[in-house]
Amino acid sequence: MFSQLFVLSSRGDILVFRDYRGDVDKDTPDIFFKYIKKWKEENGAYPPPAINQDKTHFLYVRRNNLYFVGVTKFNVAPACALEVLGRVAQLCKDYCGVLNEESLRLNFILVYELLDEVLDFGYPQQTNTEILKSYVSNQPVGVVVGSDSSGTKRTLPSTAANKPIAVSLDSMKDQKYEIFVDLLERLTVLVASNGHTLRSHIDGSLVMRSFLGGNAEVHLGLNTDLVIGREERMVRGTGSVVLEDCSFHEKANLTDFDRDRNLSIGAQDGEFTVMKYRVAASDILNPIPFRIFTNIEDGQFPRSLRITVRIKCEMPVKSSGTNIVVRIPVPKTTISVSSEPLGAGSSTEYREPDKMYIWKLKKLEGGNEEQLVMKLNLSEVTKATKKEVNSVSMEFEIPMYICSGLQIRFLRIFEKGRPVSPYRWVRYITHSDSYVFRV
Amino acid sequence: MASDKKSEVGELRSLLRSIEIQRDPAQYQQVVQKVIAYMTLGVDVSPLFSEMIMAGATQNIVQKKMVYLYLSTYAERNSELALLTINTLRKDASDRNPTIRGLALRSMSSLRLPNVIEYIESPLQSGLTDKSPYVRRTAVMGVVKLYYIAPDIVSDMKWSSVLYDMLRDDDPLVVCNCLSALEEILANDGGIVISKKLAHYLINRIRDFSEWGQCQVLQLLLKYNCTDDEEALEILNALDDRLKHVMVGVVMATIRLFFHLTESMPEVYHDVFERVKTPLLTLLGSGPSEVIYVVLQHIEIILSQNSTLFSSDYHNFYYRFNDPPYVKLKKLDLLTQVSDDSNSKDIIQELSECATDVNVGVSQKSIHAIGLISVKLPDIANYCVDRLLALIPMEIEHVTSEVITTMSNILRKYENTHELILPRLNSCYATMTSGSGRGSLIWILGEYGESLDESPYILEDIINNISGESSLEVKLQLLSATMKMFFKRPPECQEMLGRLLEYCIEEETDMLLRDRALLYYRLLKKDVAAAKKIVCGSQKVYSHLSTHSKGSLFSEFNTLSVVYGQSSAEFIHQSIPYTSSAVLRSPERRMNEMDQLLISKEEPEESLLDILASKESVSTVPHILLNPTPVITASEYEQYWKSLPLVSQDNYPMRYIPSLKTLQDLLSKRFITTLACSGDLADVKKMYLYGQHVSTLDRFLLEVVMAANKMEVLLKCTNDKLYKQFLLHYLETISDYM
Repeated sequence: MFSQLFVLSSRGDILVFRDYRGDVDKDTPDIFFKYIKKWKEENGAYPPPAINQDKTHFLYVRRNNLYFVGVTKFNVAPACALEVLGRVAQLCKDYCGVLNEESLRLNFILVYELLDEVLDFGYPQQTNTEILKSYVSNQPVGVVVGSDSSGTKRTLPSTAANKPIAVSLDSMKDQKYEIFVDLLERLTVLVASNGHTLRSHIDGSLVMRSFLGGNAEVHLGLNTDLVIGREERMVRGTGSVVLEDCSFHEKANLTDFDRDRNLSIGAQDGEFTVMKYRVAASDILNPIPFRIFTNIEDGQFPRSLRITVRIKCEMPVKSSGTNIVVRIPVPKTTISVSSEPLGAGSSTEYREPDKMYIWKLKKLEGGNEEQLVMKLNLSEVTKATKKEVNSVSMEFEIPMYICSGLQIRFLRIFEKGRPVSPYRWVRYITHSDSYVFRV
Repeated sequence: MASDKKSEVGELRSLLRSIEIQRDPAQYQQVVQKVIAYMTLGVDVSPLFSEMIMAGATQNIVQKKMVYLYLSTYAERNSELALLTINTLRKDASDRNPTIRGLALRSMSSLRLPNVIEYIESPLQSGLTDKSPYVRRTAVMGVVKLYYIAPDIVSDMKWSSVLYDMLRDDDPLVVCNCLSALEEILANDGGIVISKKLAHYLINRIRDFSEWGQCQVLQLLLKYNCTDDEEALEILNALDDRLKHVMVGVVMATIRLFFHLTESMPEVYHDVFERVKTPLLTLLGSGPSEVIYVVLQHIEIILSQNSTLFSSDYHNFYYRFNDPPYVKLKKLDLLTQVSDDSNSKDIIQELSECATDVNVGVSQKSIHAIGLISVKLPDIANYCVDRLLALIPMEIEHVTSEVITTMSNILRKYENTHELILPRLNSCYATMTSGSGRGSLIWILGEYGESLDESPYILEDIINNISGESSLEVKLQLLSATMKMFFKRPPECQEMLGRLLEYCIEEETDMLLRDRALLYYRLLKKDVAAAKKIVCGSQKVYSHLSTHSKGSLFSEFNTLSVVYGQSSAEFIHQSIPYTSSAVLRSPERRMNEMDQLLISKEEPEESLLDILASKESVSTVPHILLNPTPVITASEYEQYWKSLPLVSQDNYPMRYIPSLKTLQDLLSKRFITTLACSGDLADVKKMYLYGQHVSTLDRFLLEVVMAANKMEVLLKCTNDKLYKQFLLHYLETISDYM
């Protein structure tokens, strides 16, 4: 249980501060922030999430540059405590639309109301976005309002789901009756310098963000030949999609899941994860969606290098990656970097303090490739200089593409047993998580 | 600034008092909101107390809530005025709207004022039987809050038995709050009693509870003792699906319970490890870094019990480039621990790639990890050394320095690898700037340098530049290494050793270095052969680099102890509420007591630790007053040490051994001087201490030897009537580490 809970901005300003048990001094935000600052100066990184300062314990999670901090004197269960804080952050996001300093400042009284209900005497109480609505009286002030799209549109900007949920009956009338279902996969890939994939796996999640007013029941079906776990693979044989392991939301109804891979869940308003899964992707991610080839050679002049980075999209022609960022580390002794002109949609940036060259591509379609030629001038070249360019990492998004092959076969919404048809947005997105090529 | 704030508060006051504003609800709320904003920033707005009470008498629920928040913050400072709010609160406590009733109960019990107790007793009482579950659960927490101001009332009202009855409430949150409440108010009697009936009732309802409630219930079930193995197996089956829960907290609590339930069934106990493996790996794959970090810590604890469990899943501990450093470092720890003959090559390859991580801490830890694996697995040691040496040509300062330090550790176990490293040393020294790297390099030269022709000249170069050297470690190592080299290759070294000794004795200001130089000088002067024996004595006792085993923390699974890597005794001083970790800790504590008994049995008269442990008896041994500026030279000390009788020799357990510098500072504050001590790097730390009685001028000489978790203390003194007091004084001084 927590004695206090507070939220700090990235500069250490107190955004909200709630004391639950009155058994800890009030200057805890100060102590906490000083500790973080000192640690960052000494280690160049954030400290682990549990901090012991003079037998007072600070547990914190950092979300969008905000610190959500719980203070306790007891030997609490750390995972549970951190998850409570994560949940508080999620609630703030659900109620304020987006999570940042501005939205919390605008809605701080609302956040106080939430904190009042979420914990009592430091013990977690009601943390369900939907149920909490009846205890919250403030109206959220939206910071970024999703663009107003008419129902005929087929697509929405990706920020459309970033809006506060409706709290009162009045605003419920104005709220659009819609649901977002996202199938997200994050790829972890590591490729050795000889081109072999050293490891690859997919962490997937099925996330819903509902604005249906809380009474709806969502039915959805996944691939019928889905296989989960090693034991099942023995029984069922190999299906098209094999998940190593998966877990479900507490409230998911899985009665039919074993038979036909259908599940249903009561859709509370706000964001929640219906399912999480893991895929060991050595055979599925073959080929991997992007491949990078790097070549380093001596430049024309003494103390210069020429680095060629080629990126190839190995997906089918109809798919394409967007918002691609390639990071190329350059040697410490680099004085200047320039690159040969690039095609439209490409741009580069040199981050001098990090010694990092950034190459951004808006889009790369399946089967295509792009090339970047960099020229480096160095103050000094040693045997190790070339080795400092040790790995190239990349970030990307692949819209409407799921590597594992998992699919949502259908999505039906029922209210009080009757089918209804709200706006339903089903999105498939693959993201990079850790996507690294060793040079 | 201060006057600014004062005027701001004054302005707020006049706004709160303004009739116009009070008539306009929206404006009134805005002003109250402003007060809360100032309160959040830490501005003292307590002078507005009476105005805020006025603002609380409103139908506007948002405003009401803000006022109540304000009251619970400042009531303690305005206890007289706070009485004025009681009427409003009591009225609200019987409002038609359950949300208002709950709010009123929560606020009145949060006031923490003894003078309002009589007014909140009956609203709480009726709250416990309210028809709304929201009010009931708020009232239950109210009982706990009341317990902290007036424990008598809670027991007089027999509320604990009411709460026991309420465990059958339909609403799961009410049940959970009753569990929390009973744990706290019955803490002195060991918390809530989990009977068989209650245990099975909770297990059957587990799916009703929220994720937090489940964590709590699973935790409480640790207190339940199954009647037989069959029952334990039933519970395992009933809770098996909890391992698939998406919340890490629930999975962790389940794992701990599973281990607890199967303790008496070795075979099932073993199966539990296999059972929890997949869920743990899944949790590792997704979720926020903070929680992943906690999962990693727990995997580490599990490894301390079953070291081969994750041998074939080692690649799950390769870090991702976007992991925060604290996760990366932990994964490196785990890689070291899961390494065995089947996977070590892959792991070492990965680690040598990690050596170039942008974060210096991560990079050095990967190198260190290679060293640890080589020490653990002799078969792969040469491969490790190859990979380490391959890092040197990269000429990255912190990498080279860590490689050398790691090599010096490897050499302690595999002496013959010195042939591989020696030829590389000369080129390394220049690239390194850190003290520990260069210190290690010099140490290697001193130990093994004889087979390398140029070693004396490397040392000579360093000696020539010693006046510009700032690192004490480098200087100390240089002194010892030059001594060793002198015995191995005297003609080349005599002249430079002379210069070095002269420099250290004449010009050096650091006492430790000066004393060591003096010691060497006198040794050489007195008896060269003896000096050789002492300086070149074999000290290659290798102890594992990672010293503290985490096994003992397994009993504190799913608590902060695991995250800190320390037993809770070291960082928790509040024992209420009674937590189940305390239950499981007690056998260990009993063991410590047994240790103490054993000590006192050996030497019944000198069970000082026992005296120390019980505070009352401390007063029976009078405090000793020591001379704040005792003076003694090294040779005098030696004289006394030879002539005085040994009055006490005893072993004491240590929780951990701090750096010697810390100890010295601590001791000198209590007037115990350190005459000589070993280096911090030594496996066995030694200190020679001295103290003198302020009036009788009796002398006390202590030799302290610390290793692993033990401290041996030898005491000699000129007055054996006072030695107990002195020993107690010493033990008290360092009691934080015992």
